[in-house]
Amino acid sequence: MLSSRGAFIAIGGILLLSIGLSAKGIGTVTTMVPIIFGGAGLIQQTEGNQTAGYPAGMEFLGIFEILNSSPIVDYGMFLGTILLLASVIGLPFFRLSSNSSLIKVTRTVDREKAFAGEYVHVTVKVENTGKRRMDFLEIYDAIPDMFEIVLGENFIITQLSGKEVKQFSYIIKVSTRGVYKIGPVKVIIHDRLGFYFEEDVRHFYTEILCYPSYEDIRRMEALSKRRQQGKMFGAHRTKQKGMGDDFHSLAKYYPGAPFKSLDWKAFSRTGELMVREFEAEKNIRLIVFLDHSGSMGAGIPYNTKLDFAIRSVMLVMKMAEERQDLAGLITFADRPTSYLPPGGGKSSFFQLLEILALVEPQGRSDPLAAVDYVMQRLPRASFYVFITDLESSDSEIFTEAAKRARARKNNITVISPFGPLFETKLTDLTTTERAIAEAIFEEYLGYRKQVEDRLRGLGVEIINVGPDDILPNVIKTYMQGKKAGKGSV
Amino acid sequence: MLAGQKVALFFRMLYLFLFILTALWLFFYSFLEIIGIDPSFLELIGLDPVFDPSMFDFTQVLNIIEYLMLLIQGIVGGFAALAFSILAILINAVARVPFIGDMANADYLSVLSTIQELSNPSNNFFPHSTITDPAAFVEDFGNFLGATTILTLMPITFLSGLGFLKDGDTKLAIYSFLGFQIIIIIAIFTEKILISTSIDSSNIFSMLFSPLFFMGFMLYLLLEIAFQTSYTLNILEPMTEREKRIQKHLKRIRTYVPVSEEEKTKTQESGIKSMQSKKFGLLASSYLREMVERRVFKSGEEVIDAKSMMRLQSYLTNLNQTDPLTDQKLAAKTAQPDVSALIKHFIPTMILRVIAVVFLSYIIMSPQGIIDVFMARAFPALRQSLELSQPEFRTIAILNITLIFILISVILHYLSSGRTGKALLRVVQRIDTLVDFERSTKPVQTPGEAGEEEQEEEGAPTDDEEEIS
Repeated sequence: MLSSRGAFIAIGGILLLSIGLSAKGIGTVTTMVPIIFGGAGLIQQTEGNQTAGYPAGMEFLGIFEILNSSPIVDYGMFLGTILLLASVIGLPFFRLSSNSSLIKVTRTVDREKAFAGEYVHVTVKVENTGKRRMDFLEIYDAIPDMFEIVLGENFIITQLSGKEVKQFSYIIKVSTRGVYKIGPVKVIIHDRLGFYFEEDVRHFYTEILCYPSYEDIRRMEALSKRRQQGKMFGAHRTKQKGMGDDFHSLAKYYPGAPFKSLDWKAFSRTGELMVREFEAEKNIRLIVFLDHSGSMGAGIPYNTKLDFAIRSVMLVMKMAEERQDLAGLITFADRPTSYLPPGGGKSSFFQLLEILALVEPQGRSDPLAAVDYVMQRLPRASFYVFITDLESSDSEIFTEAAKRARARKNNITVISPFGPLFETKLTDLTTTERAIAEAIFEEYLGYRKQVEDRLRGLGVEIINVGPDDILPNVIKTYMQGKKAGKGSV
Repeated sequence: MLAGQKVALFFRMLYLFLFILTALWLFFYSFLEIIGIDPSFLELIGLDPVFDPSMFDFTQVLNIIEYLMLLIQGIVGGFAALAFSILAILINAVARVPFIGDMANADYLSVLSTIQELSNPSNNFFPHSTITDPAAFVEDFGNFLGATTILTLMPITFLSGLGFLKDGDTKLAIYSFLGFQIIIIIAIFTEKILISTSIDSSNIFSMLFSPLFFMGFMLYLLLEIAFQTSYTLNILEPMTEREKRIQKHLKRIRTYVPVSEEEKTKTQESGIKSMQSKKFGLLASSYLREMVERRVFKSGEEVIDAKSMMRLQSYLTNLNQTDPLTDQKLAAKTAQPDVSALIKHFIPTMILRVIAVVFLSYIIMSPQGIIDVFMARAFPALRQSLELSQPEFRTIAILNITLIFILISVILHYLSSGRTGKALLRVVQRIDTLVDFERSTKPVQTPGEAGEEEQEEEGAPTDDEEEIS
């Protein structure tokens, strides 16, 4: 195909040819202008019998006759010919050597799964399987907009000899969770002068699964290392008696009680055999219900309610894993979309990461279906933590879901991201906008209050959160739940 | 300097040399004429002027302005006369209306007299002269227009050429080429070109060295070299720049040392202290770090996210451990074009192209020789035809030769794309289908015959085979 440069040369050639040909028909300026303006040339030609034969009044047609042989004719014809030939003479050679199907492109990545904020090294290998040299080759490897190239370039401009292989690479930073495809690859072959080109798009892709950011967990780990607390088993006690180290209360001796638990001081004080009881170090069973309905996708890009909710879930699940609690996750929108049963271990955590990486805001919210789904699989009482904005569903469905869950003695806490706080900052608004925003806030609050009142009546705790306090509140809920022994195993 | 940069410089110098040569030839005389130096001494050294210096004589400007005023006078007078006639008709029409006609008559008459005054050539409003010699006026005007256009285009053309040398942008070379062409065409049109304008196409060398053709050829060569230079610049410079830039980034990442907030504050506080005290003081370590930072970020860039930088640093270290060629791949060093191959192919390719283009042009411009050799016997009338030397014939020849090249390329593309193989396969499949069709449309056979045939197909020995065995 002719490139714009080649087309310019060809059109330039045609233009010059046209100038030459037209000049042959018309003549020079000095002969042309007098004819047009004054008819001098016409008179002159009439004298030379050139316009003889034209009917009266039509003598002006004489200007189209051959009047003069100008050097512009030869010059235009010569240069036009040269340019036109220059634009096509290389075409057969280009076609002979450049065949994009002979270019083989492969792409490799050093990892197919990465946390948001991590780097991926992409290597592209280009091979000329043919025997002829390709003078000018451009290869572009398309990357999703979400990725940022931190080092190297995702394209190359080079030449390739026959059977030659060349490689280039670049490092990208994956910024947000999700599944992304690197590709397609565009191959453009030019000739040396850039007159012709051939373009080919190779639709092959490399999938990168991007987990949510590990930054929060890393920060928490750093904090834990510094303080050397909060990671040990049983550090956060429940109020139930058991076999722990912390004293709970004194109780009357009962047959079978171990002798080492006898409190002799109490016996001497009261005259009755008393035994010391200790707080139990029990683990809890935690189920996080993550709502990913359409309304959860609202907010500032990459900092939506869902993004914050996912960060919270990751953090709480990691904490639960370290504390050997049984933590599970169910994601739901208009139906349950994925379920991770309560368990522990690294494999479970990676499953969690995959689930969270693929979660997208969609549809309406049906917490009842999610509760039913979990209760069918997990009949025991657990600690249910809902992270939902309570927006994409009727309040009756929430109430019904809470009723059913409470009927099975499950403890429920709802952490609810408050929409307007995620979508705008009051400080950024003008006075009028702020007034409108406040009115919307109030309307929202009115609706939420109704839902909250109903749910609180069922013994459900509700915490409204904004982007600044969602993470601390989720951690606090978990810690308090653990302390209170909610859903203890 | 890297090899790639050297090659790019070589091509730029080549372009510069040819550009200056052409520009000097075209402009130098005119330039000297304009600045008031008599250029006749240049003729002594054999440099002939291209343009007639009288073209740049602007003493006729006043005459031209006067002519222009006369033209305006004519136009205004014409319109005024037209307006006068229209208004007169209107006044007559209005005057016939009872009552209103009498009331408006006086006003209309004053407007009419003003217009009449405007259209009168002897009203002291326009210069009192007439165009005595229209041909002289046209010539003066043409010269003036041509000279001003050339003078306007000259710096544009020159600067575009220099701009191309600086930026390597082909558009600028094209602008320069266009500028040259327009200048030459204007000079030819105004008949102010001094070099011989006849192109002798009796043989290829006389054609090549005809001054006008040679000038056109030089300009084409300049454009060709500009494209070749652009190729080397496009392919070599970005890759060389990229390599340098990425190596710099890599070095910067590797040598990055984070400075803690505490140390930063301390350094800032001690900024007023002397450098000597810093060197030997307690802040020696932070001073050294600062020096490292200054060295690494000498361009004044700041690392905003130190954590990301550290992470990238460790990531790169890991990558290098697994693949020692990582740095080279990132800098695309392994994909750098071969400079020696570039030079090796540049000159022969260009020479061959130019020779082919000139030779074909000669054939088109002077087809007599080729016709004498190849077609004399077949078409004697064609050989003797005067039309062969006419531009119409040349046009037809150009179009045909162009189309032949396009046709060859289409055929080659078709062959190289593997479609021939596919087409052959399709033909074979079609034949197979036809054969199958014949088999399937055989006359209906009795069960016994069919059984025999099945046996044959299954490879059961036939009577003949049995005999042989």
